[in-house]
Amino acid sequence: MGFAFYPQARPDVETHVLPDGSCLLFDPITCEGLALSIVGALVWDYCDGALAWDDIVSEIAGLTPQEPGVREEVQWFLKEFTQNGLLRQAAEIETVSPGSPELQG
Amino acid sequence: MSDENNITNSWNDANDENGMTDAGANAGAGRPENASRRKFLKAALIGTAATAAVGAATVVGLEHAGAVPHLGITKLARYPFVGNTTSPGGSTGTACTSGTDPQNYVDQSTFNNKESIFLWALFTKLPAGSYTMFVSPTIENKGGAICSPSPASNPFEYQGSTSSSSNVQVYNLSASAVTWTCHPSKKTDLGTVTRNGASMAAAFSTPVTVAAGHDLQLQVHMHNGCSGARVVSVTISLFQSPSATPFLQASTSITINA
Repeated sequence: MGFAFYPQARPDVETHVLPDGSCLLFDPITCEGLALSIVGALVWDYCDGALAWDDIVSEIAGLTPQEPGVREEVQWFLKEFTQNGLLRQAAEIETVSPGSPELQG
Repeated sequence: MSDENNITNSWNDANDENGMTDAGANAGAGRPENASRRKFLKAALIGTAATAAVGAATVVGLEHAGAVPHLGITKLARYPFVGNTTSPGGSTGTACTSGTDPQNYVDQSTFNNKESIFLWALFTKLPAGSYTMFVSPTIENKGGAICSPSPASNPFEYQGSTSSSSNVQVYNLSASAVTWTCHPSKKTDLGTVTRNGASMAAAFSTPVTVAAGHDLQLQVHMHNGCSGARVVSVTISLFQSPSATPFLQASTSITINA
């Protein structure tokens, strides 16, 4: 049995997507602006609580299989968002492995 | 336009299926406007990755260089919000410069070398508390280490000597007494000075106590002392004791003629 973290952006953080795919975030609590690259903008967009951390990494890295560095970059952004308090305190979702007692009769 | 996720799309508002402008709680991945934005971002990433990045330069000094340079040289760059700002409680901060005629303070942002400058900052509707201010770049004492280590570092010095108490003046004003947005039109508009000193450090050797809703007006008398033309951005930071994080900041740009 394990736990999956479903990153979800704080709704009060302003997000401004720019024509080149990068975006600018504004945190009204810290009064700080953060400019994100295209990868960062996409990671931020994925932080809607629908996908688990690992799934976000896999899905975005899968878009550019020829760029192995993207996987690490997605991980980096997720950590940055977490450490900078940009994500909600998302509830941990308990995942049940196939052999766990919960699935036994 | 903003959608329910408090996200604005400046790339093409026509792509917003509903064009709603209200900000609100995160609506989840299934809504049409989220899907089109994600589609756009995916396309941007795939398209950029497919472009050969021959000669993509690394930029020295950026906060976080991208692991994949041609997908964004800067992964993430932080910009503390300086300039004229508003605190969550509605307090505001503005900064500006003017000429020094006490009968007529005229807005002025371009000065000749050694020309007298009044630097102003007005912080309004402050919560009750004790406050100090800090100016960057540092204004040097007259005859001090100006233009050091280069003319671009600390180009300003106080107009008066280290014994002059009029270099820095601070006014604690009731909101009703302030009818201007940055500086008054003449000296008599200010009334009695609350605190003064030969330098910022002297004037704010102890914090200034302010009642709720009051304004703090800063007036600094200085001039440029370094040869050569330049544009200098000056920031005044207001600190509410005992916090070391600026409560408000205000910036203004000063152009110095050669």
